[in-house]
Amino acid sequence: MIVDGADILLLPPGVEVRGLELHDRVRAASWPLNESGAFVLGQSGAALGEIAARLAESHALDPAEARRDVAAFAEALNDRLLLNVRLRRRQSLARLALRLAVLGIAPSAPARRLHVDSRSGLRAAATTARGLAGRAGRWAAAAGALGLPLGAAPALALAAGVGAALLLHEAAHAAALRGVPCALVLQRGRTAILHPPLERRRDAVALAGPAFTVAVGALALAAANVFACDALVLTAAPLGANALGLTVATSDGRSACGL
Amino acid sequence: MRALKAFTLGLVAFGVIAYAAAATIAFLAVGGDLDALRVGAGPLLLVQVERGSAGSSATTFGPGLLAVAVLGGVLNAAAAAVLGRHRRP
Repeated sequence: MIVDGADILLLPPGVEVRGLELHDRVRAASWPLNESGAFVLGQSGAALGEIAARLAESHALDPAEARRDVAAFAEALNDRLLLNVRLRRRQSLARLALRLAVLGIAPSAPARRLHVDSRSGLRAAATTARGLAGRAGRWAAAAGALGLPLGAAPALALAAGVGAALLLHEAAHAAALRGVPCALVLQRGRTAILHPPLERRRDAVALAGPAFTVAVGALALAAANVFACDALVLTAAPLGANALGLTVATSDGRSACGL
Repeated sequence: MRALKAFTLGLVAFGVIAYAAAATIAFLAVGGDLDALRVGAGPLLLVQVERGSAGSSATTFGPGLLAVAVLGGVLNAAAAAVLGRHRRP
């Protein structure tokens, strides 16, 4: 992960500092903090460089060492989905990532944990879809570019299928979690809904994502036949591929089988 | 119970994936101006595309789809049994 002094450190929704503890309402778990850790997290919303400077001043530390420590702390917490890092210099970081890619090093973007309003199924689906819109758009654009040799209509149909598959899958999981605190997680290429261990409804939550997406895929296939629009087959294909989520090859399938 | 559930989920999953793949292959075959296409093994036909004289085309889905679905169900149930045994304390 590449972090810069200008990047903003933010406690994600559902994570809060309680004295010398970091509490995660979604996972219903707490982690102990030392005084410096609590000081850093108490500055949520400020830039990493500013926080490090304040830490160095208040604890009489070397500024460079404080900055290294804060960056390492931020990286460790971000990896555990307990801290969001908002990048401020995306373009210069993208250039640096390109240069590192030439050397065979692939730096990853910070993980992002986003709010899901689970007061009702509809709200949960809507907030999940909003949080995922950017990633779904990028996936759809990449799929559309791949489909362009087939023509404009098939490329659009494929793009719609890929984007919709990602959105519908996670939105259905979130909707099934109504009433349970949860959060949307975007970590490297992985997209997931974070939630506490479930005593009941575990199967329903696990199956909701792939089952709903496959059902929409079946509707797209039916529409292709009814309206004689063959390109819709390419919308249905990525939606149907979500059926893999019903098998034990995926975490959803394993959860559904009680594994 | 777990075996039955895993078999059913695997059956549905592989059936859907096989059908979606066959439909996509048929779409690409029609767009690719192929005169005829047959995908399958022996009597187990997955999908067949035939082009008529007036430029029309006919797509046939065969019993191979059912065979793939049943095989998927059996594989999923077997994998679930193996995973369940490994996780048992």
